[in-house]
Amino acid sequence: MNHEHVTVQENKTSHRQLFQYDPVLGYKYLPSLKMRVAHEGGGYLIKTNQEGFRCNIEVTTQKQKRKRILVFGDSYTAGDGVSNGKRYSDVLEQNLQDVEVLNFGLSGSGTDQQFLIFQQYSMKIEHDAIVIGLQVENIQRNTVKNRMWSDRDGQPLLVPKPWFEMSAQGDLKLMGVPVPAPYKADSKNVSKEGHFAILRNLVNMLGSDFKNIVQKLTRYQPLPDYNSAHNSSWQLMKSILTQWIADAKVPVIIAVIPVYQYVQSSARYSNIRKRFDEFSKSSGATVFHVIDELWKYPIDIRKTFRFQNDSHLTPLAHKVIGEALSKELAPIMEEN
Amino acid sequence: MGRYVLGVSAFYHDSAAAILKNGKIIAAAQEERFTRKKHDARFPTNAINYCLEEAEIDGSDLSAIAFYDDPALTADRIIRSSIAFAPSSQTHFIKAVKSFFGVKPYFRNYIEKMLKCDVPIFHARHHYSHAASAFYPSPFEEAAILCVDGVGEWATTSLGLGKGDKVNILKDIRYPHSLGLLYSSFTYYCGFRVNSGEYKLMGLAPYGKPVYADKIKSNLIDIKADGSFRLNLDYFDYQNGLTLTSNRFHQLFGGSPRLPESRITRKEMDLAASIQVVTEEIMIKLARYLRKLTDLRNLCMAGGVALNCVANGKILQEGIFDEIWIQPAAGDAGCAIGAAYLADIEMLGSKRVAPLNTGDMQSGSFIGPEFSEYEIEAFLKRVGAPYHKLDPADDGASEIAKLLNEKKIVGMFSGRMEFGPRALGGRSILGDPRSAETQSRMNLKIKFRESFRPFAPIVLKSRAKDFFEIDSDSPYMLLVVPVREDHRLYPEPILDSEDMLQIVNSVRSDVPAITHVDYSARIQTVTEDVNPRMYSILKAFDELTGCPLLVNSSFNVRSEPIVCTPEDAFRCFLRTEIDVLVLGDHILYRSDFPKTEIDESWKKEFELD
Repeated sequence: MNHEHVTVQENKTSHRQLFQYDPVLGYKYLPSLKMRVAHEGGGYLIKTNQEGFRCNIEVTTQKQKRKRILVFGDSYTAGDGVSNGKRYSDVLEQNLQDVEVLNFGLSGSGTDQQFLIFQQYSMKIEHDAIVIGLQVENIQRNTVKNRMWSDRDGQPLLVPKPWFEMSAQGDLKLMGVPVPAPYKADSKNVSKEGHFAILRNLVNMLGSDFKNIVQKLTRYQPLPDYNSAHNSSWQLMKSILTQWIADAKVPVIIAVIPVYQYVQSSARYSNIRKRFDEFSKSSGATVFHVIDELWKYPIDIRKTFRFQNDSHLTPLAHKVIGEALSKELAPIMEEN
Repeated sequence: MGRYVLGVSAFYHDSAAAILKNGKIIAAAQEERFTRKKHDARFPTNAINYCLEEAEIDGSDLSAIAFYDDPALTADRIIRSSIAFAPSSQTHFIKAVKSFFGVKPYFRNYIEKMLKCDVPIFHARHHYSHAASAFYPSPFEEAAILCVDGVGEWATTSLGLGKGDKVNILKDIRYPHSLGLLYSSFTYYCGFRVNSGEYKLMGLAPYGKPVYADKIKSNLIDIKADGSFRLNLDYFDYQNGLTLTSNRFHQLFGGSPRLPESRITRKEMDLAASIQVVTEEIMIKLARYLRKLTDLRNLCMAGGVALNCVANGKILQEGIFDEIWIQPAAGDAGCAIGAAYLADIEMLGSKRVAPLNTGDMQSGSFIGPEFSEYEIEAFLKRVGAPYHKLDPADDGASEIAKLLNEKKIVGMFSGRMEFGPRALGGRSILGDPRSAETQSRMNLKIKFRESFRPFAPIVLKSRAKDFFEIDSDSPYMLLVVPVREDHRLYPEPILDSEDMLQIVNSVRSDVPAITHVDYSARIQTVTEDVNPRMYSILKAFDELTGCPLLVNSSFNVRSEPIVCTPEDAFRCFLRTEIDVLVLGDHILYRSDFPKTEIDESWKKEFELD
């Protein structure tokens, strides 16, 4: 799968603009936004703080009375499809005593952009723990320089992003900053995938049930990047995480968030588990496989952890993940 | 979590949604503003979405959802009236069945599909929705209520009263006898679009003489002393077919209906004047009877006919009631508010909340979407538009006043959008009323509409009496009052009585742009507490010029719904010859834009009204 051509939609379903250009991250949510997005799940409320994150709490340098957890991730963390107050970060906060949880999730982002967000804020604000909500597809987003969006009129738009390159010594070098502004895609840079793209669009058009059947029949394995410890995408992901954990002065939990093929057991999770467990062993980082919690439920329930057409997590999945994470984090917060 | 009730009106025209939180209106909007389709009648997905956005809730957090009419009663009317007029009603029946049974009974399905929740649904009766929309948000503890429209279920005219938490309808006039449909019949016959061209007919009336009034009263309608009436259905066709008027109607007035967009002649002017006079007579008689019936001092009004601000002004001048409050969204859109109130009070057993300090619960009707400065700036950056920041000290009031004094036309986009058909300063086009050119320039170069259509003044409430014969407040631009004698000028009589341009261009006062041909003006009064921004601009303009009023027209081109978003406003600015665009605290000058041909693509985008 080439993520340069995965389409992200700027919300045509709303009268409001959700994102704005950002020279470091490529884009960010608009600050102090209140917006409801029509959605197959019944619609959801997006509220952002003054810093432009989908967070109910304003970012202050110093903690107030409560301890503070910072949560990073992509749309699964920011909560596409789910209202503020019902995401796993919100459930986490509701389940922990005297703890505030700041959600720094950014839809469509890679781990690289999430790390840059951490760098912008980690020095500035007091915190006690960090959760990296690592959606497994982020590994591919780290390797691309731009992503295809559709603008409010449904026209293709290329949105550049920053990226990291690794030196021979394994050091990370930030590239592409300042990030160029988004630009209208033309026929030259829209489709380079030929018949494969046509086939994929056709399958997507026929609906999620048909897509699931096709994937099952073809034994589709979505993320080959995790198959080998030597894979360059995995090496890059590992470097970013290593640097992140080294920079963090507090406990870090990497919550590995699976996509639905793993949740519904149509694809094998074993290589992903292997890579992150190896990483945990070598770095000492705490890795929490979210899938172990989701697999506790029968397949009929697991199917409701995603929306029918939109593969993002439902409120139920957020609840399960938030409750499980709170059990992981409770002892850490008590220790600190 | 508070108590939230959503009200919805849909499937006929002007679909809308409104939401109450703990008995107070917190948001309302018409679907057309989001879809950009004038009078959009579809299920108001976007308006509902906006209401939930403002309330910061999901559908499952609602206590109740109210629909603005009772589909069973409407079905009853369609079936019974079709039987009564059979077999000639076959066409009407087929059309009504398709449009009605195709959507209205499935309201619950629409809600469940959109919101994915199971919330109790309440069906209010149509005229009760109108009555509730007029009474509950009003400043009165008790009031007589008059609702007049085309038709809702069976009722076309309702006389009722509101006391405390209760609204009751005491008497009604039923379909097919309808003042709204009578007025719309003349709208159609004069070549204007029904359900939107009624304003044009009202605006045209002062150019004519009511020479057909007696003909109307002796042939079309029998008016009783109490204001009740019966139509002679031989002259109408709405009960049978697809048009409002029958051949007999056409014969009575000497020929076929005027073709849309063709030249307006003396006949149309006189017909407009005649039906206006008849309408006023009925409304005044109804008001007198209602006063007698209820013995209450205050009057609340709603229904499409309550948007006839000339008739409203006459009721006020007659002094039948001490005070009048008219629902600003008097048409079906406003029923969303009324239905929500009824569900809250009758279904959930809540108590009516006392009016706000602003005099009523409608908050100046500024209950639509607002866009933050972040959103405006992000939009301007996204499109690369050249802009400047206004002086934060006075929100740019002095700069805007200066530009208006230089005869610049200003597109004003500020704060929350208005609910109802009138722009009240949130989404307005402003101009200098002292300039004789303002009216024709705004009509022809900016609104692209007929040159005869008058513009309304927006005036400081404290100075309104200096220019107009008015003793009361008119915050919602729903009253037409005379311009004071000492401001009037009397031009030479026009020789060609059909040359409307010459009539329009005659200067009739020292504020000619807002003085209609009969020396009237559709006035909007402004106070600081309800609209501080517009108050500051008017104040600054008054200090600069000694004139405390401005021309206020809705921010749109002809046939386009009033702008909702910064993007809509910017697009409208580019398509017209508006000189200056104010977007919140940002200002855009036409002179900063390269000179290009005016974009006329709106003509394809919006179906002409």
